[in-house]
Amino acid sequence: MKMAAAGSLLPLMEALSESNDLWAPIVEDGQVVFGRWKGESLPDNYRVTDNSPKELLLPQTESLMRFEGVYDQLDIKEEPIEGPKVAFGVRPCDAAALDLIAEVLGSDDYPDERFGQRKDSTTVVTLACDEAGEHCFCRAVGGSPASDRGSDIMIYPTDEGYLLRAVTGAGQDILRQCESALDPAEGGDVESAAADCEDIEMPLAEEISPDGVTEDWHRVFESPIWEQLAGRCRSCGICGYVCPTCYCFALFDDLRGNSGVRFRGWDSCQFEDYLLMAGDHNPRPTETERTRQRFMHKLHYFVSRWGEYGCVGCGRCADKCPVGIHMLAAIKELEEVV
Amino acid sequence: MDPLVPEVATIRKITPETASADVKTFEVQPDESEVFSYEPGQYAMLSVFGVGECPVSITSTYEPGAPLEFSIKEVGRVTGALHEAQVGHKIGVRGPYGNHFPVKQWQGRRLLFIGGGIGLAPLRSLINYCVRSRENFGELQLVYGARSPKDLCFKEELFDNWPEVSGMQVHLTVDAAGDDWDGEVALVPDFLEELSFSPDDTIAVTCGPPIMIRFTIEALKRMGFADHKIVTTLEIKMQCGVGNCGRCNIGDKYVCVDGPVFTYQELSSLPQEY
Amino acid sequence: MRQLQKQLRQEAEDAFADGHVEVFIGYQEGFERARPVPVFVRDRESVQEMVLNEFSGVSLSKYLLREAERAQEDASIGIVARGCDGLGIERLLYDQCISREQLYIVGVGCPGVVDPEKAAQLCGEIPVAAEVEKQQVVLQTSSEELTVAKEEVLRDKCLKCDDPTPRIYDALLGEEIQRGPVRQNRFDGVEQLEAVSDDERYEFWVRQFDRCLRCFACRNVCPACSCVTCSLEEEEPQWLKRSTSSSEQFMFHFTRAYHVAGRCVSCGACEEVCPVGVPLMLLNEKLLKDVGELFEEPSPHLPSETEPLGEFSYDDPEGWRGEAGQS
Repeated sequence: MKMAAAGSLLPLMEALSESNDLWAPIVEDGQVVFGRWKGESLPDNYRVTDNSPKELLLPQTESLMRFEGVYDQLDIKEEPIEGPKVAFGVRPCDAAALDLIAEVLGSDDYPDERFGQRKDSTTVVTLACDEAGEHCFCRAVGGSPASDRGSDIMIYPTDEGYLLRAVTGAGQDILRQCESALDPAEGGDVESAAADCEDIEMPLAEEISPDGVTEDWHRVFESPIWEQLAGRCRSCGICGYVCPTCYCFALFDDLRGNSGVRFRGWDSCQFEDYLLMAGDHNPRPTETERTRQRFMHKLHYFVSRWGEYGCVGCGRCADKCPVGIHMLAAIKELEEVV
Repeated sequence: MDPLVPEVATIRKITPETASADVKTFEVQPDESEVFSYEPGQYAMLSVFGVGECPVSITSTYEPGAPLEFSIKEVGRVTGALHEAQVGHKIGVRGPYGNHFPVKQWQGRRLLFIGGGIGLAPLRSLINYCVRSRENFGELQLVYGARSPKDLCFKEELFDNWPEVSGMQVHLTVDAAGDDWDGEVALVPDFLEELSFSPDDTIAVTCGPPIMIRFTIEALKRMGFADHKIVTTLEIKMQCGVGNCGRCNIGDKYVCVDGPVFTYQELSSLPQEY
Repeated sequence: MRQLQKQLRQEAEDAFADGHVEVFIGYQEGFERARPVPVFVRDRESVQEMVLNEFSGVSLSKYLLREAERAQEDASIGIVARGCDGLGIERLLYDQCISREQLYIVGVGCPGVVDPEKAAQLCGEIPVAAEVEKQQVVLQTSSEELTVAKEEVLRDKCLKCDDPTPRIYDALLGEEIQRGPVRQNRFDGVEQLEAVSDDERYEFWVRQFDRCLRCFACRNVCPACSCVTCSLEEEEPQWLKRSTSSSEQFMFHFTRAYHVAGRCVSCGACEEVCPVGVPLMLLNEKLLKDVGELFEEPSPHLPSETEPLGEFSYDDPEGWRGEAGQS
């Protein structure tokens, strides 16, 4: 199924919002964020939103269960999960990232039910990229500006308007819902629209690829570049929190009187207390070990467990790191020393 | 049910193990279901509601109908709250998690257990497993030490039960003692080397403080034990127990699901981040 | 600036030659164009990696805390400081986190730092180079030269700057500059927000704080946040719950702002590093404005021996532990 919405995605978004909880890139106080849709057109020229859409499936913090009583007469109630959502205007890198997280949290042994239910009930409508941003490098890590991985519907921008293609059955259902807002795609060629997106220029990805530096992880681990990179690290959580594939979380209790909540919320391996144990032992005590952990996880450990990079090249960490600790810079320096 | 939501369980019995009671053994029974079946070396996540959760190795040996036992040293917030709990109090339990000692593979072998302090807790599950199916294993040797005689855990088993098991010997030592102790006074690794066991057809299993493990492994290697015949169990900060929260990795291994039991051979190929 | 960079390298080289400087904190080229990054030069040979240009403006002063901890006892730490970092250094000195003898400060009379994102908006690409002149900024792209007004292209915080030259230094690069390149009223934004209704103002802050990711970058770069254990990390009592409900977000931001009230030097580092654009300086400035008005301090952001909220007197009209001035 392929249809063109005449030049604007607004009617489609309006139609979608009628019977769905619609989330999309919105402008808030000058920032482009992924949030609940408020009726506006998509922001002009946005590349990626400040926050990644991962928070729809893995909220920054969420309550897992409530309990009454502490040591006595304990009563536990699992927290219900909110209803289905449509995530609109997701970028291909971010949609693929949802799939990467699902590799871990959806794995057979202990599937994370809350993540899984949200993943199943979220329809991802992806807008392919017709231009790469300053920090984009998806192609260097196996992605593509036209990739439909993790998406239910693909939207390809063309000179005439937008071409839509349902990728999954769920996508097809949603498209059928809002047929009135769409036009027949007469003469539209989805393949060539996708190919145009596929071929956009992406300067960063042309020059550098992690493929060469991932062979011998022992040497990478021992490299002196970690200490150099980490020297300027602020031990803040920006890189992990804006990252669409970082999924690490912590569990914590909040008790008021006799009732409490067990939360889970994002955590970052860059924080000093991430691995700090009772008795003050810390296996990764300085910025050097922590910075190395972040890159090693994306470039080696994730590959070793799941067969692909744990990075989709969205460039957020590069953009947002206040001191320019850049994924590709690390790879480039590793190329020189490994 | 979400894997992160625990079952409510009741503390049935609390036994102080050491003179200062900084180690206590808790007998725990789930309220709504049978005790899950588990293997020696596995652990569970224990919750004190309102305080949090922590991983604790299961020190009992599985037997249908028998309660779970956890021997816990007070070291942090959650273990502190557990130490405040009374018989009849409710805590949360989920598990069993992690790999276990490969007891099936070890059938017919001689086993050398080396423990220090509370490190005997996971070994106790294994030792009692071997004692119960005594005919399946060769000679059993336990070398165990604590800071002082007052800090020895599981005294009944150490002094009464295990020495009576045929083909099992118990060798005790303490770091320091007064007149009330006529046994060995030495650090565990030194005592181990003094006793000098043959590595032939023997698996050495060690658990204790990190520094003790390090020197024990060195001693075992000098005694001729091959890396793959030295087994230990690791402690690291874990939160989910199910390989999802990302915290406890050492290289590409997650201690919570790939461990906590590792051979020294496996550990040697991992980064020293534990 | 090219001239100043040369001077800086010379200063740093001399400091290493002298033998007393163990590390020199400055800037080097980053991986991306127009984004220099902090560097810690540890030997004379590496001095040539240091850059000083129109884009090198990441706040450096907080690094002194860590470097001082790691440095040899008698060794000193070199640092290049624009006016804002100069105040950050003063903050750490007044809070007795570091000592003046430990430092070798190379000050810069700062004409303002170019915001690469603003520049990219104006010239369609991140510029290769820039020159901040008296009245304007010349941007050099790969194909052309563009002259723009300072207001259009300098970092927001530079537009309000009152202190372009550090007040303390061991050497000064360039000339002392008395006032910021463009003089905007520091408290414009605060006054606008004070003018709206309570409800509107509350909604405004709920929206800002809801974006907050709790990455703690604002705290980690702040030269006034130098506590060994931050109260926000304490577990018993746990002042800040880790939930990101609106009430906890308020708790976080108010705690942060109040803990630097009367101590904030207005360096703007917190707001600059925020990945989601929370206007942290609005909060800080509100407190500065109030401190200024209540205590008749003309420049409440300047560290001094007698800071209104850093000094206690038994004659305080408001009382002291409930003993005096109760009436």
